[in-house]
Amino acid sequence: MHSGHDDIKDMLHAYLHGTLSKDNAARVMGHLEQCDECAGEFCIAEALLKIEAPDPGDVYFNNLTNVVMAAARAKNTPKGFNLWQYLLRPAALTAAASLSLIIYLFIFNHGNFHSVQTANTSHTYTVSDILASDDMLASLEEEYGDDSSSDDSNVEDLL
Amino acid sequence: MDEDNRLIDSYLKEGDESALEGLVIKYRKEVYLVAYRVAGDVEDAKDIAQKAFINAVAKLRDFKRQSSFRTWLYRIAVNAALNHVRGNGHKTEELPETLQSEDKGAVSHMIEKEQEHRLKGMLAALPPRQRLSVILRVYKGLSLTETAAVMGCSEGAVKSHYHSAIQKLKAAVAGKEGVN
Repeated sequence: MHSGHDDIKDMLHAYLHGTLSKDNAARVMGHLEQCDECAGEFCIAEALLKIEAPDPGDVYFNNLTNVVMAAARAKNTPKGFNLWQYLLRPAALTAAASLSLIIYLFIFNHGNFHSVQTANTSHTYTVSDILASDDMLASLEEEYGDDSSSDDSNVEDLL
Repeated sequence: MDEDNRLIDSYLKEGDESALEGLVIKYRKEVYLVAYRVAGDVEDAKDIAQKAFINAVAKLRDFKRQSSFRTWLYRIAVNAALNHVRGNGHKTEELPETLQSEDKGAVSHMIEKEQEHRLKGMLAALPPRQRLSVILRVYKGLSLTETAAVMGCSEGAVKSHYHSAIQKLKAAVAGKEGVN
């Protein structure tokens, strides 16, 4: 190994890309003449650099820029003023809450009405039953006598 | 690189779209070339470059400026390219068993188009990290530190990958043995 071999090795790519100072470029050139390892690496790198990549053309690059900018705008839209976020969504939530409340109150009132009606109806049925049973008693009295505390024999007869 | 940071600030803090557009225009060819070198296919490289930029814009607020924007962007592009290559299954060209040369020491013969094509195939056949180290060091001229930052490994690891890659390419060019 030559003195400064590692330093030169680290500078090979800068030399290849022409970004070294004149002094350092001269050091690298001198080293390449003496060091087969570095010369071989340099030749490989130089050959690799000569392999060209196909140019996709300006149309592609302009389109790429447009697509990226559109993606950036789309990403930023929610962070700016958003009609849905600041006006429509609260309004929609308020409307939904109001509607829920109205439906709840309607069901609540409707339910109570039914329960009251059911209670009344139940009471009516009770009175009717009483009346019916009175009618039945009257007809029984008419048929079997007016002794409402009918004796066991009459009951047995009935049965 | 300060200019890049200024453009990033201008976009993030002031919403200046032209600043972001400037960054895209500045690096679009470089990102495409990195993508092409990794993927080895023009259409794949176009898709990768687009994905890389969209991803970079989405993550721009996470850019901590511990490295240059260029290094950070390359890292995103390299990851996008590697993911793309893994997803598609890596299509490598059929390599010659050995490359015979009448003058084995003369790598200068590689400038011929056919030989360039073969060298390109050899590069594509290298293991991904070795290939990346060559792409970033040779094609992009990144320093060891920058290459390590892009690849997410130590400088020692970059040296090792790069050395192995160059040895394999040298051996293949000299016709001593195949790349693998």
